[in-house]
Amino acid sequence: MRPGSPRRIAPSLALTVLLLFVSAARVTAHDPAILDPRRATPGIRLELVELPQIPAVFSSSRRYRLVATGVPPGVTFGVWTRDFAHGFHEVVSGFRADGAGKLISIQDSNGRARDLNEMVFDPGAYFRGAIWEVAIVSEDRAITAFTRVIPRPIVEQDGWCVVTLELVSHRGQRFLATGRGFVPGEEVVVESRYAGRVHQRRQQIPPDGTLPPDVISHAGPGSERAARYSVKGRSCHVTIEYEWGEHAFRRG
Amino acid sequence: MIVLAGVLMFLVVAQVSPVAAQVPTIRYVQSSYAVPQSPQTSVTVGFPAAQTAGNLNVVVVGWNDASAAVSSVVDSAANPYALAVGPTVRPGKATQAIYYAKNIRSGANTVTVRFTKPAIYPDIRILEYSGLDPANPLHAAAASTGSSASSSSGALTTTTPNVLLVAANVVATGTTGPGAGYTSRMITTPDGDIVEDRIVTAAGSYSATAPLSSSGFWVMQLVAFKAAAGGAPPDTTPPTATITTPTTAATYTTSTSPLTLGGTAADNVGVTQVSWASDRGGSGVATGTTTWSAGGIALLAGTNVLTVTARDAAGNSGVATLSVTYNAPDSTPPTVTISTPTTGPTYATSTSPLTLGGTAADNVGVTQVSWASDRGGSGVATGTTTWSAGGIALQAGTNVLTVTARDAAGNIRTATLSVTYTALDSTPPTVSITAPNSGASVSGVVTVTATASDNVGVAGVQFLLDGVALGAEQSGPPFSLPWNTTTASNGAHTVSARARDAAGNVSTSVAVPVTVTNAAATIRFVQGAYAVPQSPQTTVTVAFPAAQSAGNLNVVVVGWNDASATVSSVIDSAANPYAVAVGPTVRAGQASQAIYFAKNIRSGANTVTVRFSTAAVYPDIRILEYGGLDAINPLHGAVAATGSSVTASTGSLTTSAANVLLVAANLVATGTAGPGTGFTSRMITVPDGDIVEDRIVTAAGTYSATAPLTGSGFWIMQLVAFSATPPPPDNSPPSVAITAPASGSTVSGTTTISAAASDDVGIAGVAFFVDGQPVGAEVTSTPYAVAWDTTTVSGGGHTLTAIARDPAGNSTTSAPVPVTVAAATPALVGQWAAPMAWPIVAVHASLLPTGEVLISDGQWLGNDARLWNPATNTFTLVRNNNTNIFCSGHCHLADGRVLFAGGHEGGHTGVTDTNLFDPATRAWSLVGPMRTARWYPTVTTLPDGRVLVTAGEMGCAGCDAPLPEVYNPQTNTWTELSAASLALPYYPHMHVLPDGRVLASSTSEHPIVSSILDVAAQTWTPVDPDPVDGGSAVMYLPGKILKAGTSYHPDDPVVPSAATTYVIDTTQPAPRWRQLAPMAYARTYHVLTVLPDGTVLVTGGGATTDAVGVSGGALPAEIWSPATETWTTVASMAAPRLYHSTALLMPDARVLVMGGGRFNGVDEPTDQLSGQLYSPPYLFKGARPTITAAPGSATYGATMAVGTPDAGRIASVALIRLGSVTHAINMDQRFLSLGFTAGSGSLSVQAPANANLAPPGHYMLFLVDTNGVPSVAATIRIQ
Repeated sequence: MRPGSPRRIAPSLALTVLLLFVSAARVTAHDPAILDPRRATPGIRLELVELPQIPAVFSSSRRYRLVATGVPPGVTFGVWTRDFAHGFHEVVSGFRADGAGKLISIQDSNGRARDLNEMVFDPGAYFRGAIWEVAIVSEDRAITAFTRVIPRPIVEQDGWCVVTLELVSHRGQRFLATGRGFVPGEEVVVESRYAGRVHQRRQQIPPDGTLPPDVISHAGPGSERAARYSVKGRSCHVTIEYEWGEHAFRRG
Repeated sequence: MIVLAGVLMFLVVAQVSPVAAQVPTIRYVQSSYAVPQSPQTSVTVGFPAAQTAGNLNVVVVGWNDASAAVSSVVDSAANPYALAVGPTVRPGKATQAIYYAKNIRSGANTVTVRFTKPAIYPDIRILEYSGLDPANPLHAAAASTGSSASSSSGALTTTTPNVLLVAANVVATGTTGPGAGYTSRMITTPDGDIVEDRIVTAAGSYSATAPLSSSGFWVMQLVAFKAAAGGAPPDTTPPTATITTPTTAATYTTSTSPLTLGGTAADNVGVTQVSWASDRGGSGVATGTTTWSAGGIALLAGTNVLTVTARDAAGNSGVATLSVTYNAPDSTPPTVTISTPTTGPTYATSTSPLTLGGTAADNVGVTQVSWASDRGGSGVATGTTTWSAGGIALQAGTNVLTVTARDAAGNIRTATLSVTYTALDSTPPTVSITAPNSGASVSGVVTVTATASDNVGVAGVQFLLDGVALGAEQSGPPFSLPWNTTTASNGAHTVSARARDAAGNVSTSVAVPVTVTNAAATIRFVQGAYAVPQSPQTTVTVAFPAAQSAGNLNVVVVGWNDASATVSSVIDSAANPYAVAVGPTVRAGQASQAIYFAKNIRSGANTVTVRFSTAAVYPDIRILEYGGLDAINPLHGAVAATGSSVTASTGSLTTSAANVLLVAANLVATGTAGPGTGFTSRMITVPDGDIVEDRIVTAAGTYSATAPLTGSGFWIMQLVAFSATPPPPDNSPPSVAITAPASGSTVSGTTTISAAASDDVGIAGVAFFVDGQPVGAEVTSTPYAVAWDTTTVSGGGHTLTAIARDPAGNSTTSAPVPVTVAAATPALVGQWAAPMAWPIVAVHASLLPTGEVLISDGQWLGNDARLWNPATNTFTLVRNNNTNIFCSGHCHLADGRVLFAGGHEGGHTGVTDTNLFDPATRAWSLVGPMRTARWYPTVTTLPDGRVLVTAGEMGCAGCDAPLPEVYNPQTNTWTELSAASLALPYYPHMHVLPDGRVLASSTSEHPIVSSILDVAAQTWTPVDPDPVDGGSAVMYLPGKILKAGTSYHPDDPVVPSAATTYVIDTTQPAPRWRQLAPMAYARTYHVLTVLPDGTVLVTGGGATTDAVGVSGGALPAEIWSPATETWTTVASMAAPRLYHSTALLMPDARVLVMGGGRFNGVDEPTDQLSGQLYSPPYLFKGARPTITAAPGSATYGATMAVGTPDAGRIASVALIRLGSVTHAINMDQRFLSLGFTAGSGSLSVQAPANANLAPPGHYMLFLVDTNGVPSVAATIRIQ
């Protein structure tokens, strides 16, 4: 605060406090205050734009700028984030669309309005293959928009063939495999190995060259949590090494 | 962690106390006192802690008489003491003096005050202060005495700011506290004398007071000490501050905000604080001092002068500045344009790799241009404002290339070019003959087939016979060609195929040797006649001796002995048209001859008339009829010659086909002696002596005809080749007829459509259609049949057809077969009653022995429980006021009460509550709690009547309760199975096996390695190491479990559901899960319900794991048969029921399907506030058997008499436990088939042999007749 300024609670401080409060009482799917991406307000587009790495300033994790378009004027929004396997919680509030449609904070610590675009969002060290979701939510929660990103994708490529695993279990035991770039019509061999087990099957590649979604489930005793998923076609052989179970939640 | 730019900076500000203005550094350090209660000549008092060099000691000496005097004040540190004020005497009462020592030494110290004689009640108080003038601290003093209830020092005047005022009294009564503006440093006990102080920052007049406990005499003194300012040695050396991060330079330019500053600071005494401030606003305190860091410094666009200030304890400060130029984030994206290879949006090429090029621009600067292809591949272009990206490998077809320009702020702009790439293909196709087989003997018309493939595509296949094209090129598969082998000579040939691709690459197959073995041609001479008028004629008529045969060929040889006449016409009485085959061949001035033919002649008598332009001399008209020749294009070739010799000859002609008729004729001056070699004479005219001879050749080749003459003379001789009749083209379509299902029949489920097809050559394939839409792929070999899932069409009438085709491409569509799909026939697919509107979502449901159904709601409505009366469709509120039982596990006790374990405290947080619902009293009771709070546990009634609870989350997602507990209804206590630790995902699917152990087959959340719990031994034993999934499970026979679909946690990301189905037979050694034919519909959140006929019904669930994805909800139910181990799709329910859906078998053998919803709270669109009853097909297959009498209970192994008038038609007796269902698992249901003997009007039914087969409790007993129709159940308590 500048000398001579009237003393008052700065919005940023208030936001921070709210962040801590809301974080303690997370919202889950079994709770009533759910934020559901399936019920996003039409017409609002939210996008996370990855920023270049600046290791000296923050962590080595991915950093993003949040870009919102189509936001109705006169409505106050907050920004909510959802770490994988957790509920949404509000991290900053008090944004309204200006005349140009930009989300501008009502006031920041310096008493000036801040453009949402200027803010940097960093999910921090994150799990491989897990989704990180960001939403803007009106104060009355009637208007919502969502976007998502996988900060640390599990992806491997051989030639044009690309296979991606998405962590889809909060226990770390399920992954969704998808792929692209395969030769349409060819028969590939899909193999999943873990804990000494090998599951192999043949899969016909559809005309669009994608690998149809494949849900990989892991379970079993023992401490071995290394797994390998491979797709072998005529022109490529993609193999992904990953970890499941509790090891899937090693932050990096 | 979320790091918000700007927020960190403010936190720092908020946490930092403002740096105070310049105030004296005078500080009170420590003090102590001694108040011996007997007269003393010497009193010693020690400072509690080591003293600091340069400080000031104050010693207040008071005593209660005026006869003693202070003889000395010394201390162990040898500091010299001087009198500051006093002694001030209250005569006869008390005396007090204050001493001080300036600029003291450091270390431990003890002060000793000596008196001239024993002083009464000496009161020695010592104090240490810092920040005072070490050279001349004493500034002023005042003292006063009196007798009152308040002591006061009188006033003194200070002339300098920053003065320490120390006041002390000695009193008769006691001091109750410091005076106004003063701070009490001590009040001695028991004497009650105070020392108080005050720091004043301005010169002025000051006094000190102190209130007393009561009125009495007092002495009070006040001493003013000056602060150290101006004294020696004052610390006037400021710290130095240095900025090293982000730069050691004076200026720094960045486009990143916030900024982190870092550096060092130093001071002769010590740096106490480093702070920063920006001329654009904002300030804060750095972390650290000599090495410091200040992060989160928000920058404003333009120049920000950041000043870092290091301070020491004396208030000296040093600064360092950094001028930061901040280029604010740029929100203007670049522009990017593709100009190479085209500026247009599309481009076609056959060259790969491709080079892209273009320009980009940005208000700040383009930092990178990159490209990516939707067909794979990406890279960074060379250059920015003018850029180029080479080596972009294209894939055949459309490649959408996206070029992205970025600026330093991360703004991007893209441009795309759609490139259609036609690959330059150098790889030839591969091709091989698949029919006929190598070495085959062929005849007639055979189909030549080949298979061809190419890396890009086969453009065409050309068949070759002996290396020569055979038929037209085939442009697409199937590559086949009908080959008329009669066009080839009998004998060895080769068949091959030449394939080419669009790029012009060609390859030829291995030649397949075949042998053509056609029978000899059927060409035959039929009849002939001639006329040789010996006078000139303009018209000559010759009749065939016999009636002619249709389709045959007439040959008319016309010769005459001059060259002036010409043939004007050749006609016959049958009106066959004649054409010239050869000639007229003229022997100039001597003779002429021409041969005419009529193809495909009409039948019957026939006379040929030849007319000449003028009367011809010695006309010689010969007519011949042949059979077996090509009716369409018989003329194959001709040759003619003239000469004058003893032998007439034709010259040679070459035939290109097998089976050719060669007809030769001459006109001679002499006479013909006979036919030439190889030829057969058909006539030699008399008297002219002209011959007609013929020969049938079966191989292509060069042929000629000769005829020996009776003497040398001129001659004309012609030879005509006629082709044999080719085999008729295959214009005959196949015949085809649907053989199953029968016309007019009713079909359901999956039925087989069969057809019979035949063809004169062969059937290439049969395709099946329902209402014109194909069913399955074309069947290319017998049996011609496909499986048809009738559930894919609506119920009612449909038409089946089959289309058969032969190798020549002829096709026939079968007669349509009308069938009725029995979707609307309840006997086949069952029937759903209309949905019943219900007041709550039945997340939990239990069938009670009374026939009512206990249901309860979800979320925070979990206390809302109701009894549903099936007979009246009415509800009775039976609210549970103890516990929110949402997400509990529930099962029946042996006595018919329903036990609910756990409940809902919040998401993933359970409770320890155990609730019992008594159907008789309709009342809840809260009984002994579990040791562990559980959310989503499973409860299982054990053979001994106790209840096992497993799993459940205790307080967070994935925090599974590892220890099972067992509830004993007799003692109302839970016992933990402390040795049986196993963390199972929530709602495990538990089944009591025939040996009494309990199998965890799967869970509602996640696949597991199925394991068996031995409750007595407290051990878990894995069954099958492969954790195959099952979203719901049922023990459909003792020890045999069926599970199907996907188990899932609904908060996890949505993935596709599975339709997989598995069974395991735990009664076998080393049991393993066996995968069966899947359900027709992939499902998650579905429910399996065992039916009285032993089949299993699946209801609800959806195509994905989306708990609210109602658009993917599976409405059709399916029934699994343990006999066929296959699913049959049956009727569809009215509404999707996903997460929290439930289903119960009712005593009337219908299935009550309920719930679904209450996922995101209440009043969600997915909430299904309804129930719907399903009548399986067995309820529409005839009259139901009835039970007229049944026992209310039975003991294990007993024989039960069950009255029924239908004893003679009972096929089975089923015992099914009353169900308790929630979250895709019915925790009670189990099925037993009971042995029985039929009597007159009754059955003798064997109760279960033991409690392992049927844990104690209430069961439904169904009689099932020979049609599979169940009775209404009798409810029997097994005990």
